[in-house]
Amino acid sequence: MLEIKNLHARVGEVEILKGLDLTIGSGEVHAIMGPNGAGKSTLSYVLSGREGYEVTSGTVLYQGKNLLDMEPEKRAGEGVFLAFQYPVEIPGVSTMNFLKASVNSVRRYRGQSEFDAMDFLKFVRRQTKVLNIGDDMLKRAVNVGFSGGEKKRAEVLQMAVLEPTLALLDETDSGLDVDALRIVGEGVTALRSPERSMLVITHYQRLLDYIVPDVVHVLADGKIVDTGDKELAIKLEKNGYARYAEAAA
Amino acid sequence: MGNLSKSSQTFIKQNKAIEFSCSEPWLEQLRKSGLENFSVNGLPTPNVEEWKYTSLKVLDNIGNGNNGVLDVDQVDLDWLPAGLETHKLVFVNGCFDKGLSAIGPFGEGIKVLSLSEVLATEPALIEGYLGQIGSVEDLPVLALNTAFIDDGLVVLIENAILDKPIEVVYVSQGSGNTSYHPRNLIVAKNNSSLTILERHIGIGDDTYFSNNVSEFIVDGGSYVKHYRMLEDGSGGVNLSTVNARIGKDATYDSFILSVGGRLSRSEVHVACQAEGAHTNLNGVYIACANQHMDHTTLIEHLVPNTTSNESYKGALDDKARGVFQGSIIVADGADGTDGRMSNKTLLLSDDAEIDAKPQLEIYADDVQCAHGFTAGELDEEALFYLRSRGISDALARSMLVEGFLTDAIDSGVDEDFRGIFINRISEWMGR
Repeated sequence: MLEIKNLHARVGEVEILKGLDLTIGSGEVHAIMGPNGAGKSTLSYVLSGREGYEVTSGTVLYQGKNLLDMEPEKRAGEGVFLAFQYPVEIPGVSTMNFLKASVNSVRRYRGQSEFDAMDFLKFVRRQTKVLNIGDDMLKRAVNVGFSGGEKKRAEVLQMAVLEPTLALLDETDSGLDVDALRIVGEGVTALRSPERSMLVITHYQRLLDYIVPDVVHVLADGKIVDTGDKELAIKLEKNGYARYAEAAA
Repeated sequence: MGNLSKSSQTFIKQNKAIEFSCSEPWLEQLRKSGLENFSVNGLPTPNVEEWKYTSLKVLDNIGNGNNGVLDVDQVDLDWLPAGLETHKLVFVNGCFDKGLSAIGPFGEGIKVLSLSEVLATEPALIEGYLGQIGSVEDLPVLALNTAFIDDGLVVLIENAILDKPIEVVYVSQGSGNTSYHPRNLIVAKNNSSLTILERHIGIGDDTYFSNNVSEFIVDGGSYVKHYRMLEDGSGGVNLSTVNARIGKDATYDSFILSVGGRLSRSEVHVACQAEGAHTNLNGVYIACANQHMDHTTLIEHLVPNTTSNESYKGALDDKARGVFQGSIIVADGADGTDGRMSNKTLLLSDDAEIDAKPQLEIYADDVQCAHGFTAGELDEEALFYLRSRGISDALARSMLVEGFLTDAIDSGVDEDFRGIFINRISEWMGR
């Protein structure tokens, strides 16, 4: 599904990713944990194609294709989805219209028929129920005035309706209280399937209580420095990242 | 007179030659004061501080003829959505057209009619009001309009609520030398309430000059909502001056969408004159090609406990130029004033330009005033967010621009009227 080899990337003059290797198989859920500044968000932006993140060497193959050559919208069409750590507010654009434009764009790309307004409403309502999202939230402008929990639920809703094959979740647990964390965690877990891989980027282990990963990696100083199963996440929670920071230094 | 521009001289000559049908002494005196004051300096030039960013050079070759509108049937006068019924007054190159209009009946306390009709039948009705607000010494464009007072809209309402909005349509068609000066007077007293929807629309690409002035007296708990849509033809020059005087617990609430014309300037002066007076001045301007749009406002808080809220948003493409000059004056002793002003402009091309000039003059102590101004390109982060959801760069950009503009409609326009303005913006987006 995803094969990252020796990835180096920088922002401005600062090198952030320094030879990252990562392979994710179809249907697998991988977690990347690591201290602040390790390069976790940079990895998610490089994979989703944000401007300003320059890949200096290495390759990223997604379903056998060179992901780095693609514009962000093409990546979305190909099935890559990034749940943002800080979802962006878009005044004047209703969440419903945004979702419809987005879903119909990727459906067009994938050669599927576009939804009309009625069918789309039905399609969205199937997902909003699970995520406890009311019609009222769909009428509001994208993320404008949303609480932390609402923003993250809206991200998971987008993930559900865009039906990605590779979902990147960037600190999806940040800013959530216990109840919101549970709704989001269960929402994401419900979307697990043999055709859908996930990369869950997080600082804390708590999200992984809900989204139980197949593989856990530790990212420090721009490289994967340790890999294990879900027990590794629990160990990290107890012992912290100090030993990786020392090893990296 | 030797120093005046050619067009200013033409206006003066033309004015002297006109024989107005109504020659009440007080009105003659009013026109005379307009002409005299206009004759001192003529049309303003960029040497005048208030006109630094807007040049009226485009009027150099304008005359003062009025050949009438030739193709009025090209304008869809039934443009409002079904269900939105109005009292409609149509002015064709500044002259009231009874055949195209449909007004009334009105209940007690309400008079809605054309100025020409008032002047022909009951000029005394407006004698105490017309020309009372705004100084012809300070505003040469107002002085010019005053010299030509002849037709326009008159609304007098007292202790009444208007059942339907008043729709005023100004249809213009240039034929090289067309200019006219409609004058509107709206007086709302004693807990009255009304909505006016004013539309300026042009036919063809020829040059014309519409110099329209509106006086609003809103008093005693009354509420006036004033919508304006400026859709002049590509050769149209539209100078719109609004002078409003707000009394106790009264509100003047306005929204303008500027989209048409070669050059437009909307100048709004509001004076909050008694406690509880409130004004909202909101607007959206969208310009492309070589259009020039100027929004100049002055809000005066003259007594304690008055409030104002002002927000203008725009998008400028190609070589379009926008001007926003917003002034708030809080007079000595006007404690408890709350005044907010904001202006945000999206520049969609490297050649587009906005000149924004905020001005706060505060002479009282206990005052809350704030202003915020931004001008720039689309938010890159928002653009990436949309593209990461599969939306193409082009569609993402247009969604962001439209969202930015319709956001202003949501806050400044009542639900019944939103569709009209949002559709006009969508049309512009798809141009």
